[in-house]
Amino acid sequence: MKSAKTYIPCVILSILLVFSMLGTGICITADKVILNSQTCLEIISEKKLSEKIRKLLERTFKEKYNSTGIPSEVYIDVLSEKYIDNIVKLHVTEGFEYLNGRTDKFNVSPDFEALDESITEFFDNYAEENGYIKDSSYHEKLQKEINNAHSIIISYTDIFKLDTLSEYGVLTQARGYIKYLDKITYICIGADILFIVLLLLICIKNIKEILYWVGISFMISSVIGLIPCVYLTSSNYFDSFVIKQEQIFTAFTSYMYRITDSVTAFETGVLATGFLMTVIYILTARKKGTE
Amino acid sequence: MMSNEKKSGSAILFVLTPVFIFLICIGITVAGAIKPYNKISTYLSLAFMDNLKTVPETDGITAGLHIKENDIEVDYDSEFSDTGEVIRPSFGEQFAKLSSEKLELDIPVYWGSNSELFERGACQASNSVLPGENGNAVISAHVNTFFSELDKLSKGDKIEITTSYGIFTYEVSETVEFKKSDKKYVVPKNEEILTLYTCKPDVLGGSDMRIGVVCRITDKKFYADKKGE
Repeated sequence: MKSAKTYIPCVILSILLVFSMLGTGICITADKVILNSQTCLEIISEKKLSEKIRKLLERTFKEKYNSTGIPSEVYIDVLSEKYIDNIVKLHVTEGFEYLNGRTDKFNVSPDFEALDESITEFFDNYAEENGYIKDSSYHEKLQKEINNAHSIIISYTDIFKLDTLSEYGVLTQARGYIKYLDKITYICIGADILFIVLLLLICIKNIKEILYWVGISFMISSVIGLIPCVYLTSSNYFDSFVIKQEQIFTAFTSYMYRITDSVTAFETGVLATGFLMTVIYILTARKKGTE
Repeated sequence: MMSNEKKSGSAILFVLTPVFIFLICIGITVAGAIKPYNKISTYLSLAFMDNLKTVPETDGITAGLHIKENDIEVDYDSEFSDTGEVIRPSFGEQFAKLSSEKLELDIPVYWGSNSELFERGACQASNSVLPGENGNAVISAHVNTFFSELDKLSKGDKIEITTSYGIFTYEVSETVEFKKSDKKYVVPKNEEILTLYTCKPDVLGGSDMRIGVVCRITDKKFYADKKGE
């Protein structure tokens, strides 16, 4: 560190290493956590979201009875928890397959046959009991109620709002960027290695200094990554989001905290590594001093 | 001494270098993160933001919506005044009672519209004026429950709204029917009126039509001793 000829390039390479490490961390988190459907599927199971959704659907259809006259049992008796669970997971798997470029379209088409039959049977029975003529207006009303039921169920089961994001073109836009993720990850890792090698070459006369430069770069990079994570976790930041539907609130906040925890874990590891390297440098530098 | 000076110089450099690098990096990170942060906020707003703040339900209670039942006094026997001040309720608060002799109706009125509130009584649109203020006070309720006989009201029938700050009597001036998407009867107006509406009863399923009554104020009695405060 004594010569300006080596000091300034080392500072510059350290700064670059900080950002390449940050980039590596972000890319790895994106690949392993954010864009991994397993993260969402685990949240669905852990938080028992399908059970919650079924209860919320039951409440919704009971409330709708006041304005439609259709008992909630018509809908809810055919919507088992397993059935709801399948639709919720279908949203996730289809969405992430599309995002990761494995399918060309995001299209969730649950099997509503049992539900349609139940609504149709109720309408038919009602019409027979009350002498209601099954004209075109009757069939129009029936279809309207069926479509309405479908859209309510799809809305409630789309807990990660992939449908909404797709509607606004966000999913397609994100897909466009995600296809470069692998390349960016390799570039970041390549940059990490390159900067470390360059630091090694600069510090070749006093090889132990590499521990210092790489160590402080790791520590600085991890602190920059940890600051927002610690803030988000300690302030329960995601809990303050205004989300009306409970199941979406739970899914969203769990997902965001899962990402934050992953980043925290990664950066803590980097911080520990950097700290260890710096400590080894100090100890070896001291030992050299006393010799 | 030179050696000691060099050593202390090295030590200072040793400590200051990471601080210096940290400050540069944090400055670049903050500057670079502003634009993506704004974009992410927009996407999150699109997907997740809502007007009604809600905290997840626990034990069947939706913590964010505070439903407040009030005891609206109907036997006020002190002095009245033609003028006075309204008392603005909070969202989810029962602030009035609506009664109609013709319909034998006496129901609570809540401030704000929400599925839970509609189960408990009539709801006043929180973007409309309060009874006693100049403008259009808009109140709705479910056709299958509280407003099941709203269509029986005709011109000249009286409606009374009792609040914590006064009693207001209206007279039906017209019966109306309109499409759900037609805002003509629920928009702000320059005259002091009350609009009551509900879904048009249909055989089965939801209706796109609404029926209601528009009522003009005939009597305003603010509580003189501000009992409601």
